Amino acid sequence: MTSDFGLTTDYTADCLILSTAGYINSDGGDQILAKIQEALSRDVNRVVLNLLDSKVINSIGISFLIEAIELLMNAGGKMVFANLDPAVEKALQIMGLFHFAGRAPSVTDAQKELN
Amino acid sequence: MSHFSKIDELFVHRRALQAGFDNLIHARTLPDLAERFASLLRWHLRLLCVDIWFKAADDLPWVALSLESEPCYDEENPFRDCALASSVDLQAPCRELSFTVAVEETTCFGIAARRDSDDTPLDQSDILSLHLFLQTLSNAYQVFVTRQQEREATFSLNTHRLQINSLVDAGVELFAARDDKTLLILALQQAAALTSASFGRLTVSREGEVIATYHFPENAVAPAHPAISSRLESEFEFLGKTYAFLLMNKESRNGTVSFDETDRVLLTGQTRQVKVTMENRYLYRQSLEQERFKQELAVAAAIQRALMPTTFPRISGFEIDGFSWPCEEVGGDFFHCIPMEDGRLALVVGDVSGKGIPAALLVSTLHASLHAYLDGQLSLTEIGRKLNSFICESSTANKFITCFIGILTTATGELEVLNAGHESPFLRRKDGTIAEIRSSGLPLGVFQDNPTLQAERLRLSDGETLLVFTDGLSDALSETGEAYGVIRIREKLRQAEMPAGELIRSIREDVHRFAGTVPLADDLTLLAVSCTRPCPATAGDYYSI
Repeated sequence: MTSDFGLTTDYTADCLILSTAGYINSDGGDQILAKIQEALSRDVNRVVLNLLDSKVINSIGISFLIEAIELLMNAGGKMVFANLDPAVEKALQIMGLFHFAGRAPSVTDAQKELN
Repeated sequence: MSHFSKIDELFVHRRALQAGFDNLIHARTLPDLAERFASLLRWHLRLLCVDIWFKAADDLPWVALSLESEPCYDEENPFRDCALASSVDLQAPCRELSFTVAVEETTCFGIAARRDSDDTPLDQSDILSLHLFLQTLSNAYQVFVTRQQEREATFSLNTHRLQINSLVDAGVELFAARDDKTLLILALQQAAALTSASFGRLTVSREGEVIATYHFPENAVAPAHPAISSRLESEFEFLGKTYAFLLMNKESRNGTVSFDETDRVLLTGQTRQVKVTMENRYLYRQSLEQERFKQELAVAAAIQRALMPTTFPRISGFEIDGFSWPCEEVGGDFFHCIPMEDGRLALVVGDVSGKGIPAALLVSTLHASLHAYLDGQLSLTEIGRKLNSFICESSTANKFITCFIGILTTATGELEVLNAGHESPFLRRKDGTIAEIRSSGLPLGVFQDNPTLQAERLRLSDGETLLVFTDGLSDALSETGEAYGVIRIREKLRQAEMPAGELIRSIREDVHRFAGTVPLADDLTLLAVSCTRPCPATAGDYYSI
């Protein structure tokens, strides 16, 4: 089954910016985790996850995000969420992600928080 | 070695074990645990390389957790054929180690390690230390598993909290949707997220024919034949349409799983929310439309009231009064007292078939056309026939108007009358006798050509009163179901030696008393004209009644 999830990657001088589009489900979460593992292999442990174009996320997608955050923390890094839809933000809040990851209203603000 | 040396050595070991345990329990993943343990062994036992493998259950293969760049053992996987039971059977001295350690009933670590050939072989003390470190590994693994289970339990609990919150929030979001299509698309994506479905479809059908289909994700291709366990359905009906939700492929970290009872409850709850929201939106739109209709009706009623007189011309020798009581906000009755250019007075009472707005619209048509024809130089017969043609053209097939038109020459008391199918007006003579002015023609609007419409002439003399009324008066019902009736009207008129104004008031009060709490079934209109002075006779034909 094909999905409509999209993911773009942008390595800056100091972090990785991942921008998603579409439903963050198992497939989407797996892609995000894979990109973060790739970043860690390149010694990049600071990640901005831009969810501007993702309005829906399920618990399996969230479980992949949790795993990604743990990987970054193990490597001494951090993840900051940007452009969160209110419903998605509430879901991440309830699942406890903001105990271990940051959130910011924009990608620029997220980059500042990482620094 | 002396006692004190032994004690010191054990003390060092204890601190090393404690430090090792504290290090191991901070592992976040199994490979991390293995890597930490490998480092521990390398440091404390001077092992050149340490490879660690893991077997979670009998039917699962060995998984490499921590491997050196070059294998520490001859074979690629030294534990392929090993049993799961703990087999730490090490004999000192040795330089190579290969053994398995059971940490749970069916769970096992496999460790292969080697000391440098330039170094001394592992002695008994090293083997003893190794046993202690393995025990530390086992304990740390238990902590790791317990934490893992706690995290999974917390994740599961949070997931349930998320589902409940999401279901509640879904209802609020649905109500805020700007239209039904947005609402349905939102409901579908909420349902998919709630149940961790990969795909969702919502079809709207009427009498078995699909009229709309929505997918989530919008551009995703659904599986052609999903297994039954990977389907979850729920539907409801509203205003003749069926809304069917279908979710497919519930996700988990281990692939597609079956939808469970919780998912069924969530989807049912969601579809109920959608139905309730659609019902509320529909009722809200209905109430807005009703409110708008009421306001328009109030305006229409005000316009209609303005068409009918509240005051009447003061004419020497005559008293005129009347009133109209619609049974709904707007009615089909009409009356008027219209001064004509030549000084005569037109008295009109009309009753449109039916009630409410359709009847009221025809009343305004009658009002407008009447004014136009009365201003011309037409005879009353001609006016009647022209009104008839106009009403035929203006109204629908089932609409007609009964109408009484009287044109009073106030100087002489001459009254020219035309009764188009209307309830017969009564004329009270001075001696109390009652005469009926019977209808001479069909109501207006029945046939295009109506030759039955023919005006007649009579005279209103001193002490005489003309009472024109609609059938709403004779049809008014009491609380016992009795009709007011024409006989009662005649009797009332016969007994009432009073001018027009008093007569109208008296009849109104009597009807009000008679009906009690029973509402009017039809519009009720009265018009009375009484003559209070002698009028000179004129030549001509008079209708004698």
